[in-house]
Amino acid sequence: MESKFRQQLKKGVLEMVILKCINDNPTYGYELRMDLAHKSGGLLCLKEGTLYPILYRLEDAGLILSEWQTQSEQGGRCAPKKYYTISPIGSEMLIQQKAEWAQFYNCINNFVGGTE
Amino acid sequence: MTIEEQEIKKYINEIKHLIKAPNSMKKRISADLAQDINARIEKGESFADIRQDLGTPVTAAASFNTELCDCIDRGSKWQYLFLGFLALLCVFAIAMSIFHGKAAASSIGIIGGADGPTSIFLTYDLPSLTFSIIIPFISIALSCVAAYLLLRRHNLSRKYLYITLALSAVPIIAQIIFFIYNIVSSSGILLSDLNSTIIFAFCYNLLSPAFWLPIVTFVVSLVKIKKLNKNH
Repeated sequence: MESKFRQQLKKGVLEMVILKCINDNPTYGYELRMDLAHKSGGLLCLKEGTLYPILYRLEDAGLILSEWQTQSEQGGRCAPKKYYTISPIGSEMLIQQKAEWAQFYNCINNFVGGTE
Repeated sequence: MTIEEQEIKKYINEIKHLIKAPNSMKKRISADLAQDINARIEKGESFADIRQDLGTPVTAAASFNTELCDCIDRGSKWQYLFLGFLALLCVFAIAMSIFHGKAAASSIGIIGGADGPTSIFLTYDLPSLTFSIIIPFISIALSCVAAYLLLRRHNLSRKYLYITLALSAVPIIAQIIFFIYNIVSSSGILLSDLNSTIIFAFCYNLLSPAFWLPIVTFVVSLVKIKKLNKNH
């Protein structure tokens, strides 16, 4: 069971992290989950019930766009997948969130110190 | 459909049934869950493993329900004001139709003697009734529906916004006809009084919610459509 502190931290940054992943590479739900788990070393292992509502929030806010595709990476046909891409507003929001995150990170480090 | 596909469908339907969200959101979740499961099967996982990972339909639905609390767009609370007003209008319309039916029945004018040719006239002025009561009434009702739909969700689809636009446009057109009728029905007045009649009719229309409410909903719909076009 995750600590409440960690849950709160994750909740605060997940939208930005997901936005960044979609910005780097248009992706679909399952691939995104795998990507997050892999890049975070298991720290951001999300359940479907956590990831999809965040994607809906981002999509409804116009930050990401979705499109169903039936073409696999190899060019053949596959089961339909909803691919997410970042919208121009989403790109702007990501820049803004990254700047805010850097400011927040420095500010908190001033209080609690580095990683020692 | 294979047995595995049937099992997947059944499993997703069970989760869908347990999710506390509007139907549109449930459909969205089932479509995404189906593609997620299919993507995992394509990567070589078995449905039994996937099901074990996702948990029982109750646990899978619970995780969605927790997250969806902030995600569901419930719109503005003001929507209920318009819904209530619409309900009041309906009650008023029913009461009026009963009252008017009785009044119309008692207003049959009999002209002529009992021993002579008898003419029966209905002193029932349908055009006047249509313009003075029915059109403003329908205008307010349609505007209330448009306002309710606009306030139901913060993020409305384009199709939805075109409906509210049409619902607002109809009363506006009706009110323009009503405005012209008010002036035309004042025929016979002196030319010097014509300006004051127009001003009176304009002020009368302007103060009526049947006039300004559809204009407000029309403008809001237009602004939202413009914003939506800008975002996409």
